[in-house]
Amino acid sequence: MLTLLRGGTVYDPVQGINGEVRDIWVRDGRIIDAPGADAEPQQTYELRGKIVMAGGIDMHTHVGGGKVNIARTLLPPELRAEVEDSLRGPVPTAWETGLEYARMGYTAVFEPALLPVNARLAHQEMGDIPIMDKGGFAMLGNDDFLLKLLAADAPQAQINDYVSWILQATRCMAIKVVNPGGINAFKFNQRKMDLDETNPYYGVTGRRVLETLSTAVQELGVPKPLHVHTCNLGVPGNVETTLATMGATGGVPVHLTHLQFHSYGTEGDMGFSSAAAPIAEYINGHDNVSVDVGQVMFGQTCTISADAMLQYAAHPHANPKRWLAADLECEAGCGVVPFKYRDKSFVNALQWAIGLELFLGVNDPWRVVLTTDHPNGASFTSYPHLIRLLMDRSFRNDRLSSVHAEAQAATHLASMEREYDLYEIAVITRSGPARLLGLTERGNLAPGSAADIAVYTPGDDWEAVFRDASLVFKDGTLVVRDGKLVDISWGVTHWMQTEHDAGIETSLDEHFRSHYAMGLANYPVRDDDIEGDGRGKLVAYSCRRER
Amino acid sequence: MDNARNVPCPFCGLGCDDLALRASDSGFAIEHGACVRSRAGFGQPPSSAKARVNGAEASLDAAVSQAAGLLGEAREPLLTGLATDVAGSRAALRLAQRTQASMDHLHGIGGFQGVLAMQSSGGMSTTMSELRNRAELVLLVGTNGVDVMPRLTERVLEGSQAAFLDGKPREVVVIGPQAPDASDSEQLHWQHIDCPVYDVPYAIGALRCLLEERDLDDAATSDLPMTALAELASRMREVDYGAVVWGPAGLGAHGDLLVEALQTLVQSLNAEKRWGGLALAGNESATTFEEVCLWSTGYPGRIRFRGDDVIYEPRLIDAGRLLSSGTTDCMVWIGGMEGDHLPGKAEVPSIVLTPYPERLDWQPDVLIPIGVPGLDHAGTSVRSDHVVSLPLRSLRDSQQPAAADVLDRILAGLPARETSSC
Ligand code: SF4
Ligand SMILES: [Zn+2]
Repeated sequence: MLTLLRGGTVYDPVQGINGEVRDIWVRDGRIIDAPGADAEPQQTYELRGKIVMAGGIDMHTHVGGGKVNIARTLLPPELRAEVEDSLRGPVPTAWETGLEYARMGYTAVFEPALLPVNARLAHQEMGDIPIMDKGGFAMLGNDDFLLKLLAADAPQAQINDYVSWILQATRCMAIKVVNPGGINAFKFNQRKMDLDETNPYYGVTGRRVLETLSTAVQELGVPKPLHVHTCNLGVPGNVETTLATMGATGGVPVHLTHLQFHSYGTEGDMGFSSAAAPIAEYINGHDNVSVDVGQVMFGQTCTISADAMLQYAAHPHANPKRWLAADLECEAGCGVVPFKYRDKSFVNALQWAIGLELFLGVNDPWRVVLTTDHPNGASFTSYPHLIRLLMDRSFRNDRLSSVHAEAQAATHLASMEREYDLYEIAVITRSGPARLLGLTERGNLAPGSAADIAVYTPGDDWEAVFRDASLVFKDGTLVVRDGKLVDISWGVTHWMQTEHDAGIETSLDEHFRSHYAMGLANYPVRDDDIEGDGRGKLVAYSCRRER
Repeated sequence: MDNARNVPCPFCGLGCDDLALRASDSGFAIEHGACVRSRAGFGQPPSSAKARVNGAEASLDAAVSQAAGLLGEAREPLLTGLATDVAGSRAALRLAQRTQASMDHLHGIGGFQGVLAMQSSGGMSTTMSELRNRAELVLLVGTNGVDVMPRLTERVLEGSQAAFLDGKPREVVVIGPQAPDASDSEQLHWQHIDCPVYDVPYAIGALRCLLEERDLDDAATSDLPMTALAELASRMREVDYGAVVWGPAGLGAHGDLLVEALQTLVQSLNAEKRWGGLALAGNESATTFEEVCLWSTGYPGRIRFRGDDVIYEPRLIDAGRLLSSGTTDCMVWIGGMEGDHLPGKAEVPSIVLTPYPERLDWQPDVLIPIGVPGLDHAGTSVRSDHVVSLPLRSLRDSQQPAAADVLDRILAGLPARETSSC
């Protein structure tokens, strides 16, 4: 089928198109060059005056895996009424997740903390998210196998083989590390671990884990830089650790996630201050560093993290008062703590301001991704509000004037003049994350790319503009009109194909026998686990071929 | 049927995946990994049972269309049993949504004790491999473990398998009426603190008081094995990593309160040392259904679909009560992994999908034989600790369809209505 989207105002940063009136032609789910003058589209959409962008891509959103179900158990939808900005509560179902994302013009979501041993089930959960493409980042760095290799000074090549094997076994897109070595240390009853402290059992530092994993990712040719949730999550004064982390890979690409939670100083009467400025300055001076923000918004949510060590430490703040932490299968852990961010709390209000300071302080939008670390900072349904905060300074300053007074005094947000324009919004919500992930055929509107397209109706209130897309196409099919679902599709699962020496399985087999209550043979995800229901589909990217 | 190795077992929540099977005409013999449950499960011969409508043999098509007709007329249908794999759970949820049904897994409230405790206090948990490698001391509360999971000792508790115990033996303390079902070895020391089921909550309460050095009322403790509990409390303070394990079935009527007490105990023990809780749940695929139900509806089970909404009433949406009180007008039973849980005769139109049709002692309106996931067809099941899922295999050519296929065909056969959403 040939479809014409006529005369919309196009923002496509990948092609450098900044608000130009263009026609977009779509055939069989792909964007194509304009066919000859005699081509007759079967369907034409008149988009004069509309904003046209590629479908949004959320690179960091907790939408699959056991900890999300734990959050659903702890915070069932009976608490929906208490949640601002959303009908469906902070931890929606798979179905609602797809609908709410699609409504905003998003077409892809990535689960950034997939526990390898949980991969099969996490993929099956994500398989029930409609409309969206999906993918996972496999978590390493607290698993006993890697730490054992590091303790034994295993050669980098062997680590690379293992990292590659994990990507294949879990059908994942990237590698993430959370509190490097620290979650494992917590199992040996260590309560705190900084970058240069050692794990008590393996004698390995977090820095060593970071260096080794970021090198493995680079040497394997995985496009997505190592995704790093560094030590000291949420701890006042963690700015030092964060700066050290950004420098720890020696120029190798590194991505710091939910940076807001890692940008805290200790100044002021409360011993809690914004360190967004030095961090933004560091990023501005170092091209190898990319980040996502993990913006905080006010209201009820539920924090879910693999960082069992620090989530355990945060449990006294649980609201409502129930929380769970877990040690998981010699691979990692998790902590689930319901939380309510209040604008009249000094700390929460300053967290909100710090996130915005980071967005506004980092100059290159290609290295900043818009996230709330859903649901940790807030639900992803708050993105339209966040976009307005970034685009509309007077709205931002109005909102600022209503938060905790001392927090207002502790941030220089009011003086920050920058307003994001539509081109920059398109970068931080689609083209930037696509480029970081290595998704060449998503996040842009170039001929040959998938026809994932969002159309918005401009207005004064950017929140309203981005709340309900006028039209959303997924692989060329119209799925949303005026924010309402009109058709269903199921998207694909993106994953990264890497190469390794199969000899690694000999050491793994031995490790599985000594550590796991499961055999190596039954560990890898089978393609049928994802595709067997007749609607899931795997799409592999080959690292070697692209490099 | 071929011989097979490293076979995952669907027959209890322990999720062993090390079975070696040898094919024979009547079923599989187990060469490695046998237990009372797996032997019975894998040993059953392939079934050639036919579907039945009102007692008479019928084609699958005819049975499906009869089932769709009954469900189409029902106003308050109930889907229960729900002992099936991920695909079967998904299909059951689709059918329930479309028919605005209630759902309750066959374990009923027993399977919900952990959930109710979580929704009250949360907890701190561990998993099979963590327990196996780290736990110096394991409390088995209300169970000796093997009654729920026959190979628990061999696969998890046996101390020689522990990566981080440095050769120290593991101590396992059973609190409750059941005696340990294994003898001491160099690596595994058992202890039994014997008390009747109704005293288990008091024993745990006393243990907490001892740990927190709170005063105990002599009258309340006179029937309890206080010396043993006091020794246990002091031992608990010493270990670096411990685990508290309970079998949901052995906790009595107010099991949720006991699980909550255990979870808060574990939480508080973590102030000084590392402890984790673990429920021996997941038999009859309870964990599998719970996981799929959570991501599909936001709730762990015991739900009713109403329009686009889902109502969660963990104490009221009880299959037994709905059936006996006449509040349901059509029952759909799905699964039964082992065949020892099958529905009793229902007074309402009944559709039964089971791998064990011949074990049913009554005649439902529609009876459809299905395959066993992991034996007759491939699938996914979730282990008791919720974290690990098993890649169940198809081990033989089976005539029997998967539950998911039958449910989806019933769904497709329902009279047309507006679009459904899952
Ligand atoms: S213990 Fe359970 S999972 Fe293991 S073989 Fe027996 S029935 Fe199967
Ligand atoms: Zn996150």
